[in-house]
Amino acid sequence: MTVETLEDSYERREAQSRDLVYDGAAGALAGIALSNTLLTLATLGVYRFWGKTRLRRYLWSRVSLDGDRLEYVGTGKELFFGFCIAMAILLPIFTIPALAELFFFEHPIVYAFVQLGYVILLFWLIQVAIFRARRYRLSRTKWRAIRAGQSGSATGYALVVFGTGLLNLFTLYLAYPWVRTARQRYLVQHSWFGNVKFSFRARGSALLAPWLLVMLPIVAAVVIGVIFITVKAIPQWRQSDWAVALPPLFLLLAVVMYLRYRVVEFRYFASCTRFSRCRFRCDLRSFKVLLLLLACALLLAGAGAAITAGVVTAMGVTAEQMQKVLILFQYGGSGPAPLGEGDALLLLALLVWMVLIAAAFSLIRAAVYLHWMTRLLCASLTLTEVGEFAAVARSKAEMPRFGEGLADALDVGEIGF
Amino acid sequence: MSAMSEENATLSAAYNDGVTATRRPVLLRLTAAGLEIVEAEAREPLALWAYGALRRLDEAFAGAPLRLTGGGDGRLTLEDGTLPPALLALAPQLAAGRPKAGRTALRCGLGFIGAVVALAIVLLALPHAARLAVPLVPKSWEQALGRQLSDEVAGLFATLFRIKPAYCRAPAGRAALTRLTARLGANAGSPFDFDVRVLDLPLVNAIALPGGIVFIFSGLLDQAESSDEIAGVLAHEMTHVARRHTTARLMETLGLSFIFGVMLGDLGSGALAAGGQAVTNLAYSRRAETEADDGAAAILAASNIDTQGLADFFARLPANGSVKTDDAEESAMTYWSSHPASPARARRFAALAKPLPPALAPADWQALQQICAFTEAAGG
Repeated sequence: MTVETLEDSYERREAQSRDLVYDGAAGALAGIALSNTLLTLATLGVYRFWGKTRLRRYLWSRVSLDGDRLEYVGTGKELFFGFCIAMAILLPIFTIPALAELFFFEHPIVYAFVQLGYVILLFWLIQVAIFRARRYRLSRTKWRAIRAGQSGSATGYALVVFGTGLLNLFTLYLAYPWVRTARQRYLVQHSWFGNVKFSFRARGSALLAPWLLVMLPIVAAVVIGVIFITVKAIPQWRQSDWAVALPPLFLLLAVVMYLRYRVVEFRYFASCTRFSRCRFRCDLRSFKVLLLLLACALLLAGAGAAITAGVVTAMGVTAEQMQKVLILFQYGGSGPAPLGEGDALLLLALLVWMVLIAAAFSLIRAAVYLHWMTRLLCASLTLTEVGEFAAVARSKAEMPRFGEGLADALDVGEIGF
Repeated sequence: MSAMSEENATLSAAYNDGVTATRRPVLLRLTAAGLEIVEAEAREPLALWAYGALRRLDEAFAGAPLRLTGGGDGRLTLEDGTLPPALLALAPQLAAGRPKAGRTALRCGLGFIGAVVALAIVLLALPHAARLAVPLVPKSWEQALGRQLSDEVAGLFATLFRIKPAYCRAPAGRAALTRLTARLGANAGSPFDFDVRVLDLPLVNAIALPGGIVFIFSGLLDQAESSDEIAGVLAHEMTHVARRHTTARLMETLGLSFIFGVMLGDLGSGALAAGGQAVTNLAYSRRAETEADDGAAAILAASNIDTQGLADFFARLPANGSVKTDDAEESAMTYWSSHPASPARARRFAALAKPLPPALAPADWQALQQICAFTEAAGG
């Protein structure tokens, strides 16, 4: 290849795209998800840190900005050590409720205070975990050999969340858009790429209208419910069955409107985010996200039903045994109907069922949810002045040494990312 | 290497130096010292990477460019994605496949062994830890817990049969039960006073709660052919109470669900955790059952009651409705069971049997069998 053709291809690539492009394949993601499930089961869960890393490496490598792909430089070992450290912190904390029950069993007031303190501590830790997980992921994300990062402190973020959480309570969630904006502001304004910081200029009031569309059906459901309960003695009301269906319908509407709100909020937050002179624009449509979520839910339900039916018929599980399994899940082996000598086959069926369900879940999550979500997000985002990213130099800030332990242990890691 | 022709030796790529986010078109030269990265017009190379240090960034997927690192912060991107044969010859570790694929198998093997060892240690240590911890639990606490649980447990069993929970409390039957309880209880060595209640349910079983409460299900009374059988079952449950098995079990279950929950985070492995927990639970409870059988034999002997009754009861007890198994299979199956195999238990108590008067006088036994003539709703 000569220098001329190289420059040609370079220009062609430049012209192709200046924005985000995702070119991942659902098949490759399915392969990774399946092998992750099997290896995780075979190693009794230990592999999951490496599996998560492999999935991320793939997803990151299929997203290009201005023609160059992202790189995920995290390792399974970091996640594993992070998890071990988090466990060392969390194990003693998790024993608090049991110890409190043991020692303050006959002092309900002291017990209540200890419980309250425990809940607050846990809430605090969850915020710290969310912040640290984000910091880890950003610090392990590279583009053109330059890494992103996050400054600020976990305590600072937890304070913002705690304060705005109180605001939520006092305003009966009317302040929710402002709360969300404040939290997002803290995260974005402490985000870096190389040595340049992101900035954020959002106002909560801009999101009030879509938020009211969430609140209205909830208020309507509550009002109708209260009216229905208080005047249900009136015979005309008792006759009208349609009124009973109204509150659930309104709540369903509220769920849909909430998902729509989150998409609108994402669009707005993107438009308020700047990187030097580079601005973001997002035209993600909420019906697409709703369709994706609906498809995932249907796939999960369908796969669950098919697997259950398949295992039950293939292994000849009786209705009585099914009830036993339900009890087993609820109460463990010490429950009222323990498995007996004839139930070895039932236990095997249960194991097969679990493995299949786990595989189906991780398959649908990776090959449908993550794949399409990343695709929708990348296709909907456009950047102006993308050259600002190329003008960046590396940051001298310290990197966190270990990964997301708290988030993993507390189950607050964003799904798959 | 020196024999390499000039065409092969020069490749084009894009280079990121890891200092700024600029993308530079570069030429690659395969020299004897290593991979030289040169800007088109420049004479001095930007970097020289040793062949042995070269690594792929990504797994090889069709259509993706080939991205390389030389071990430092710099990155090379070869847009067309195919690895030049000349470079492959010098750096064979770049062959397509997962990066470090060879070590993955080894890691998984080690991970599996490590996980199994850790799990084995936990499973072996947990029952002992729970037993050691039980004496630390105040007795008043255990009694309060038992009282709190009793109506809950009664309700739970009743829902299995879709009926309202009720205690059998015909006065004559209660009196007979109290006499039997006192006689056995005196020899149980229990730190708790016994509170034996009959639940109106067609279940052939009895259970011990923490703190001295024992439930006998009326199905057991209907099925029993002599008062010795009831005395034997009661002695068995009393040993559970005296040894505080239920409390140890509660602590084990708490510890296990905690450990499994922590070890195997997400939903998929959560299902595995539930299964593993069930299996280990069954293995643990088996040990407690054997202990309770030992205790029952001792209590019956001290109370002058024949163990033949308990032997008859176990001989009639179906092996959980399964078809009869031969001995080899049976011993394999006992692992899964919360109770030792019934025929083995029957043989054990039959060996200890000697003729003695029945545990209850015929009138008392009849009264006990009719204790459900009067019931009171549980929890009321």
